[in-house]
Amino acid sequence: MLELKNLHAKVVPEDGPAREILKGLSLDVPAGEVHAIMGPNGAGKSTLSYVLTGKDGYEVTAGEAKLDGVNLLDMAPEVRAAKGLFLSFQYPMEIAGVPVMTFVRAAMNSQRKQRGEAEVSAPEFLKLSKIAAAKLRIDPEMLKRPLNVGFSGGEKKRLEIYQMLMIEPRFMILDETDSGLDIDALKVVAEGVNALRGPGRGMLVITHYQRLLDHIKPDRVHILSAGRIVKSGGPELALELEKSGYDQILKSA
Amino acid sequence: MSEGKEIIVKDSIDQGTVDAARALESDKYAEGFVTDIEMELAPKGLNEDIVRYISAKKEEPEWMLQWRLDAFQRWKEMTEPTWAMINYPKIDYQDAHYYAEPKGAAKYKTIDDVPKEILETYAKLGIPLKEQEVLLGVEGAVGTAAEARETPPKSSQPRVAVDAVFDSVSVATTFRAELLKAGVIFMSISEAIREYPDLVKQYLGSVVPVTDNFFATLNSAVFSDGTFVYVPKGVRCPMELSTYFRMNAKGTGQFERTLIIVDEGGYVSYLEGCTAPMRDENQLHAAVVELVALADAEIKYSTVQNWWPGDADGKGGVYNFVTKRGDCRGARSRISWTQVETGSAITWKYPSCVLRGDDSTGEFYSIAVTNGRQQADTGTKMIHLGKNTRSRIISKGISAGKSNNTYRGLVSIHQKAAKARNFTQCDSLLIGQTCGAHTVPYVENRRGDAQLEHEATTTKLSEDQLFYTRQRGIGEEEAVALLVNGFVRDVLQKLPMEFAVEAQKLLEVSLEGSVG
Amino acid sequence: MQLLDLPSRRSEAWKWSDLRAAMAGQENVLIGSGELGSEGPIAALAQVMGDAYGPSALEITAPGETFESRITEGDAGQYGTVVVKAGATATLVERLGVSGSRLRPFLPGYSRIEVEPGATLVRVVVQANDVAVGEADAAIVLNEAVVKLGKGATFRQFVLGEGSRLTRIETSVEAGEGAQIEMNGVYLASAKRHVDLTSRVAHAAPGVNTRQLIRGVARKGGRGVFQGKFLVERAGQKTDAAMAHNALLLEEGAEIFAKPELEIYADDVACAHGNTAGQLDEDAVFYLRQRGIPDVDARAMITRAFLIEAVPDWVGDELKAEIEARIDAWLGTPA
Repeated sequence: MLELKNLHAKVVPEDGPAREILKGLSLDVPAGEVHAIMGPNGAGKSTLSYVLTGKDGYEVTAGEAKLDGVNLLDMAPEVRAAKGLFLSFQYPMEIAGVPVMTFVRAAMNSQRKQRGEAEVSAPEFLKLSKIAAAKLRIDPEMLKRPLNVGFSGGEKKRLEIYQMLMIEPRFMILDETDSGLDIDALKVVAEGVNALRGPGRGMLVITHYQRLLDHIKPDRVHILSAGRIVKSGGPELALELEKSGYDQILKSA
Repeated sequence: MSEGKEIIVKDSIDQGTVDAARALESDKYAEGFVTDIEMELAPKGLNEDIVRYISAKKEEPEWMLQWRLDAFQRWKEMTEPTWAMINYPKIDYQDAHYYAEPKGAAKYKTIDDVPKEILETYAKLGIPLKEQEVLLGVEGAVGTAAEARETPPKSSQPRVAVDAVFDSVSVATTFRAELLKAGVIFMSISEAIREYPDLVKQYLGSVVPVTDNFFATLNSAVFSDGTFVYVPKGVRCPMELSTYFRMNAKGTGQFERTLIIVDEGGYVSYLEGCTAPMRDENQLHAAVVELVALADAEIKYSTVQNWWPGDADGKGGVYNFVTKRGDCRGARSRISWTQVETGSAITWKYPSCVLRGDDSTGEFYSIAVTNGRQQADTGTKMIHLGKNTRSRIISKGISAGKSNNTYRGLVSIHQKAAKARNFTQCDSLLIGQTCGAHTVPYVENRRGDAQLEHEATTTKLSEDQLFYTRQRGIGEEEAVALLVNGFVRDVLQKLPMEFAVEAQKLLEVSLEGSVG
Repeated sequence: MQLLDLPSRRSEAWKWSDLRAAMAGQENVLIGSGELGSEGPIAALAQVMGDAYGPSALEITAPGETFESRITEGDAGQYGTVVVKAGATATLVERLGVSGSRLRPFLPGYSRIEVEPGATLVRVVVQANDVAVGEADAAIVLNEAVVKLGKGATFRQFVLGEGSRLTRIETSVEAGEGAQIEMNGVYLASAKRHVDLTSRVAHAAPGVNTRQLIRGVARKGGRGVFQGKFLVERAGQKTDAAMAHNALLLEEGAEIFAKPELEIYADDVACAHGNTAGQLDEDAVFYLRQRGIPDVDARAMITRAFLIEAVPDWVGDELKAEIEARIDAWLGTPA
């Protein structure tokens, strides 16, 4: 499903020199699987999510990234989104004046239009929204407020997952979705994410901590360090990491 | 998003924003057509004879002619103001026709007399002039502008009475009889001068004095047509009133004059729309609008201004020099101005409130969008004279292309305005690096117990927000529109419902091509 | 130059400070003056008055120096240049005051200041009156500094204005890349006094950071004027600039006029301004009174705190104590 081959990428800040962050990253997430990426600060975890989704300021210098055999790197962000790629942002944006539901409906319809599908009708949208909100225990009133404006960190993360349930992407990247969540909220969010697991879908879970992986069980765990996958293994690798820390693992890698 | 763009990964949106800040393309201005109809023009130039010509055309009484002539004498001694942040070549006031009417215009007795071409023009603009069509919910079926309106008219939709001003004359005024049943006078100002001279005499020039400023004085001398509204004591006007201004003839200016009086306890909501054909000359529109609200009266005045803005290189476009002022003359009266300004090559306009009555309220809500080479210097004045007067200013300026957009506003608290309050918020948004956004607020406070707050921000469209939005699958232009709509949302909400939809569409069209 | 050459309320930049009207009856100082030049009226007047002293030129190369100038006598003007050489640090203290030896003193000062790359200048202007109000009211105090900041230069300015018949302290800054600017001020306008703090900061290169905080108070018959402008030119990307002006009208008949202005031609900037003009927070006054502080003292305490927030630590302990003492004296609070 998602295939990354020898991916090299630089971050190009507007002021300051470019720095190479990804240095030959290779990864294969087959359909139906959930892979976790763990790694110390500065390993390139967020860079990976931005490179895959097409944020400005990142330049791919070598390698390839394909979703279902299609090269992602030449596409505009919204086109990648319409192909089914969804990023749950580490820091979701506040968008003044645009209510959550207006935003999500615009996103759904824009994606459907790009795919040549019919738009979602208002009643259908409301029905879906109600179900998603209930699943994530989101107060429906919140969905009428401008997106993320004045929301707590936890509320913003829930809203990311709400959008994910509504948009029903095929490949999801969760960038530190656990940060800012208390344990109850974490469970609710994980349930939401797990509801989208399925044979046609893939997922990349980026996290620092094992605790998210207690709730979203990965098929594979990869350790990212200095821009490359340095070790891969089953779910037990995350446990091992929790026990002995990055230093130990990196030394043995 | 075009095919080509989909396969290009941009270095940065910023780059794309700047490099491809395509200016206005004339094919996007749907109102730019010309109506082919035989016109009768005043000779070119401006002198006493022209003033007399206009007055005679309107069959005005002697006092009105004198009023005009006095204004003209004063105007000759005045100089054009230069303090606004706008640049334009010197206007040759002798090089224009100050009066233009479709042949035989003075003789329209009923709507059936109005030439087909004119009816079609308004239909094409989405303005039905035949009352039965409005009642049936049939909007002009002729053209694309009508189709462009999002909400199909329903019979339950509130009806809107229209005064249609075509160049220098009002060609039709709908629902007059029905409004009169409620006591509301709604007609062109030319007719009001003849039919209600006492009311006109009492109020004309009482808010904007003849010598108020260069453009207002010019207007006082040569004003052609506009709307007159009188709402009697205690009457809530049963429908929305509106005037649709259309400039059509070549080489002309339009000098609208509107006077709205709402007597004690009355209410009216009024909307004006303005469009003009695409021409490569600059046409002058110098209007004066006066509002009078007596005790406990309320006036809501909304404008959707979409005069031809000129082409991408700044060729052509309307020069819009407008004096609009409301007088909250009575206690507890209320005047609110809401404007959506997307058109005109130059906009010079400060709809103001004189808060004379105790406990009166003035409001100003504005969205001004400039693109291409447009220049807008617009804002408001809130003059607090009475006790407990309140004012509120929300201004949203959006600049794109090579345009300049200035908010200029005055809040003045006079000595007797005990406990006056003002809140001002001015937000500016820049799209691209070749435009300018400016904020020039003046605050004059002479009362210790007044509370004045002013906030202003200037930002660009955030790249992070754009990326976030695009990650959700929304294309760049649509993402910009969505974010801009969020930016102006609190002002759009102040417009009457059906106009808000239109204004929203207009914003999108105005900003098309501002990112690429 | 003649009286008619001076700007009046019809001129946009002087609309609230009518120099022509204030100078009426004092035309004699204009005798022998040349043409009004492009540097504007303050420079022209300073040049005339400054002749008595000759133009001053100051070049600072050593670090940590402090220079003081004091203009207090009669009709005294100053017209000069100051250069702070690359990497140097200097403090410039200008005292504009009236000693009372002449009934209608006229004190124009104009300086061109250049702060070279990496250099730091702290400028403190104390405009105060040591004589009885009646006499000081007749003074006309005009001061203008035109400041050019090199790459990475730092400019910090604090102005205290107590006003006079007409006082205008004007600062115009052109900032180079990455310059750091702080411009604070306090004005105290009592009866028959007019104090005008006008400033303009041109952000002409990328990455300039500007903070401006002006606090002022006015009493009956006093007028405080603040005109602040931030200009961000096309080249001024990544400008981060914030302007705040807050004023209190302490009594009926006080006047505060403000024009906080933004003129922006670059899109990647964060610019904001805030302006408030009103009265003391009555809830705060009540809170203090509930704790047993008399009304008058409560008001003075809150007003004092409000003003002193704008007096930065970097003016140095000694000057800070002096400025605070002047504020206390003006408010009539026990020190």
